[in-house]
Amino acid sequence: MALGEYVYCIISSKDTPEEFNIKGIEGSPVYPLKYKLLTAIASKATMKEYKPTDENVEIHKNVELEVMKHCSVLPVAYGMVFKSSGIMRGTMKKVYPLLWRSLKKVENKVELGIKAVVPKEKKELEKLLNGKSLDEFRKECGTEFIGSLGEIAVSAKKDRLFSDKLICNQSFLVEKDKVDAFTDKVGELRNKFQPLKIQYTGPWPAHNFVNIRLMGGGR
Amino acid sequence: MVFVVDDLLYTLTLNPWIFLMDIIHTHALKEMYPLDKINDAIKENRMLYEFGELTTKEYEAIKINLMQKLEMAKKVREMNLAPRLDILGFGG
Repeated sequence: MALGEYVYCIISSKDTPEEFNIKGIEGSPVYPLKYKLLTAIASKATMKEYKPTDENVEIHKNVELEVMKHCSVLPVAYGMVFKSSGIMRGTMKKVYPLLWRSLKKVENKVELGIKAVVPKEKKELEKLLNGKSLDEFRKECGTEFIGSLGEIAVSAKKDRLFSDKLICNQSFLVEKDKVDAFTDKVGELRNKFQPLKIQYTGPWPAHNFVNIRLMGGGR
Repeated sequence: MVFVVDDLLYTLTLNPWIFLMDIIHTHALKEMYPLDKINDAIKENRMLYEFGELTTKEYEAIKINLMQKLEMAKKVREMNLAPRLDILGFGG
């Protein structure tokens, strides 16, 4: 099968590290593909539809996180593969202003995620609900989380509750120098809502705040 | 899913029962393999594993089962009934 260019993310050309020591999809080395002031981070990969297996998603995520150590990252959706570097650059040319604006939007910012789930034990759940219905508690908790954390964040987003066990699922775009303040606030909420189980994740590239789907030939 | 047999029979003029069974079968499969619900269950499984509520073994077993259902759900959606009806002149 023919090889194409699998794209992970886009960065500013001036921030492009001199060398990458990262392996991408199918173990191929990761390299930069420059177009004007933007650089796509890519690796050679078979032209095919990439199923979101744990392993592949982990590789995609790790490449983004590694690049994030050096500069701000405009994330590209999982599974975007182009027939050639020429086609990739052609696509970047077509949507160049949009890419540039999106990169500016996430520059010096990271995404942080909050998920909260009900405790497994019935006694703990009763203590948590304190006579309220699960829906009432979900509404109250969700409002308080997005209200207090949203004050620190640049932008906040309520994500879909894909499980009955979820009380809240929210994403926040936070300036890098405010991450510590955000973390402290999460700690306060964790104490206040004990024994609610809270998962605080990040920093991630801002997948929930920019939706870059460069259409390659692999799908 | 409610099937309004009268309406379907009204639109089908040739061997209606064969096509009706085909339609019912496809709808039944879609109900058995709801894509959105399976995708949500995959996310929930991963989340519960990350929260430490499932062991690796439990997580992997559920994941295998859900991935099989997901493949089946995709295949069911690829069964494109409309063109078959169109070929026979029932597509409207």
